[in-house]
Amino acid sequence: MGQGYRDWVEFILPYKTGRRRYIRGGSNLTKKSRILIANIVFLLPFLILYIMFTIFPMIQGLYMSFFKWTIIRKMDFVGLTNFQKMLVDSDFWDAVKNTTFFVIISTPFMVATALLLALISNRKTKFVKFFRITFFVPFILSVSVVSYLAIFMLQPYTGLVNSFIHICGIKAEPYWLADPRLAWVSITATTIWWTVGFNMILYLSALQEIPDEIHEAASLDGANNAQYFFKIILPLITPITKIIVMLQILASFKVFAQIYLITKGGPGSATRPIIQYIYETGFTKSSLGYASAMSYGLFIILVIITLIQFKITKEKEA
Amino acid sequence: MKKSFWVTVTLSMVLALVLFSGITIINADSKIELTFWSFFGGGESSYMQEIVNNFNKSQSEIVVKNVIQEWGTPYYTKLMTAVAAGKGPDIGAAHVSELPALVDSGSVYALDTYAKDENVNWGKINKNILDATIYDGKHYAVPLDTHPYIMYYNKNLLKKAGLLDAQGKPILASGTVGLDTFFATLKKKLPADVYPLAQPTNGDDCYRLWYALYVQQGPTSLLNANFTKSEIDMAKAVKAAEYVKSLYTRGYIQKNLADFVKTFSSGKAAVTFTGGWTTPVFEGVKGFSFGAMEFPTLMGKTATWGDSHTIILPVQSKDDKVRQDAAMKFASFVADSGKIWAQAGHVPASDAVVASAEFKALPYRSEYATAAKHVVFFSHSKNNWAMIDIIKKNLDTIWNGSTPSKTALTKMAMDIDNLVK
Repeated sequence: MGQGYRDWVEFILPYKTGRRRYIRGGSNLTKKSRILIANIVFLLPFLILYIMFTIFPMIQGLYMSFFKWTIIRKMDFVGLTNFQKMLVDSDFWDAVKNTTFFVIISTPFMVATALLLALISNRKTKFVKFFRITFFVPFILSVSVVSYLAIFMLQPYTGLVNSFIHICGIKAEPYWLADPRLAWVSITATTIWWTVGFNMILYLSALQEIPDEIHEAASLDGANNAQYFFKIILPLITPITKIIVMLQILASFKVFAQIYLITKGGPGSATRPIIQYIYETGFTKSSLGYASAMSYGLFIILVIITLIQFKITKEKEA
Repeated sequence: MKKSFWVTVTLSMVLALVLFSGITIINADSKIELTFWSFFGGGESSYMQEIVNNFNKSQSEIVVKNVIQEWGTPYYTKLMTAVAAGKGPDIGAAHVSELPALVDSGSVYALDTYAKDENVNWGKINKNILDATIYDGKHYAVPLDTHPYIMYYNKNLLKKAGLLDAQGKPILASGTVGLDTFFATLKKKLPADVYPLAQPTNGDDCYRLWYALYVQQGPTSLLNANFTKSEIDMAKAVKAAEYVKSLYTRGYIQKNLADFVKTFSSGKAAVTFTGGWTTPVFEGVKGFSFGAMEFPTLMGKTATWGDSHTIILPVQSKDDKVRQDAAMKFASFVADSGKIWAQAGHVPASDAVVASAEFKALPYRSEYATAAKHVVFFSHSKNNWAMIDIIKKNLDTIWNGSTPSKTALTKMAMDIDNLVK
């Protein structure tokens, strides 16, 4: 703790005795509790916002999940009925299945592509800046821009992708957004293109921390490129891989906006993720209580997955 | 230097604030400012703006601000939450199909007292539409129009296929047999990249087509009398769905069109079925020769899908009779502006306007004005829009071939039951 901070503590809770007795009637508290109070004061601006916009909605959401609660606040206490309903609601489980499916298909690609791009942009070539910028730029686009680009490119008959297929002489008209399977391909590809830059940056920073001497030593020992990558690089970046996988799984479970904008969860409800179902239940069907209950359902699922992940990681480390 | 610069900036901002707020105060003293929320976009927006401008010019006490919101469910969610929070607009637009939800949630005023103050003559409004806005004997909305689901055709393409008569009307025999022959001829006579029909493969205009064919067979609602359970004639529902599906499988429609309205207006399809609000859109396409007519009678009686736009007065946190009277004055003015509103492609709610020479002189509109009488409106259920969502989701799986009609419609009925019970 620097002198500046101590001055601030002094300012907030001045000493009664001691070297700096410039304020009368200062506190008698011990140094420890004075620092604690000062810490709280410093945290307060953030805490107030955090409580208002995160903690309070969480508690309110739990409270609402025990009610039949419409958009105009017509409320009836229904106990655990919403949770019972959730357990037998096939639409809920379909949506959970869709989201899980997205997590399973997107995560490996998201991690592998990020590593590949990081390796490319870590090579000492003339184009290193170009690669880094090109790979990262999509990440700064907003979800609506990304989604509309995807829609324009993937349109049948006139879209960029199908036009390219036709130019190549292939007489096919894949419906990228209307065929349930292809819709998943489109959504996953778009999401990877859009967000992979962030994972790439994480990998890139990890790669840059590997000292050059290791490469030298490995080549002196006669390791080829494949051996160097699999035996040395991969193990060295394992900690960051673990973090990326965990962040990625949590992010993919929360997938909503790009799907809503690209396919609206369709065709039918073939690509509807759980968040979209919660949103529709709350705001189209005006059933906010049930929507809150489902949010807690998703929360429990995420907690379980995170716990399993921690356990697996710990066992490996042990 | 720097400090004095910021002081100057701050001071001038404060000064500006004081000045501007002063101006609003002065304004509020002399004029009543009302906010009007609507969802009229595309071909409709300029006509509604014209009506609002006319109203603001017609008198000096009231100024109406026209705020256009996103069409559909987001609009109603926003409206209801705004009203619940005591921040609703003074005036709103609403579909007659969503009115039950607004009335049930207590979001809108009954209009009778204000209508009396402003001498509103309900008698001039078409009775069918007016009845749909009355709950427990009270008026809850001022109807503006009916917008039926109709048929548009490309005159040049029909002529090429020998399907246009001397009056410029399609040569189309009645029933599905008639339409089948019509489409088959078009398919045979027109180039391979021009399709008989332009329709989307999902969403609103598909469910409307299915609904039109379903109600043509006799049913008038998808719900029972108290709106507590679905009441769907499965055989008829399946028949309508199978017919729509066959239009895709027989290759009359190019699948998964990105923009079917554009496909039709660019001459890549001979016919399209959609709402009358598309008329001004087609009129805006240079050199496009098209015709409009009532949705053909294919399965029994003449009937079609349709809805109606109305003006409502959202409930305010504090009742203010002067403001509500002013709002009513505006609502009544809009209803009387049927001649302008008809240009948006809608059939005006006022019988007098429909009978007027001016309306009859408008191209296209008069061709399908009778369709307003054949619209089978949704019932007074508060769940109509959520139900439409369910209908679309389930029907879409029929059109894309992933689910058999009967399975999808059974699931649809089940989902509706869960919604309305």
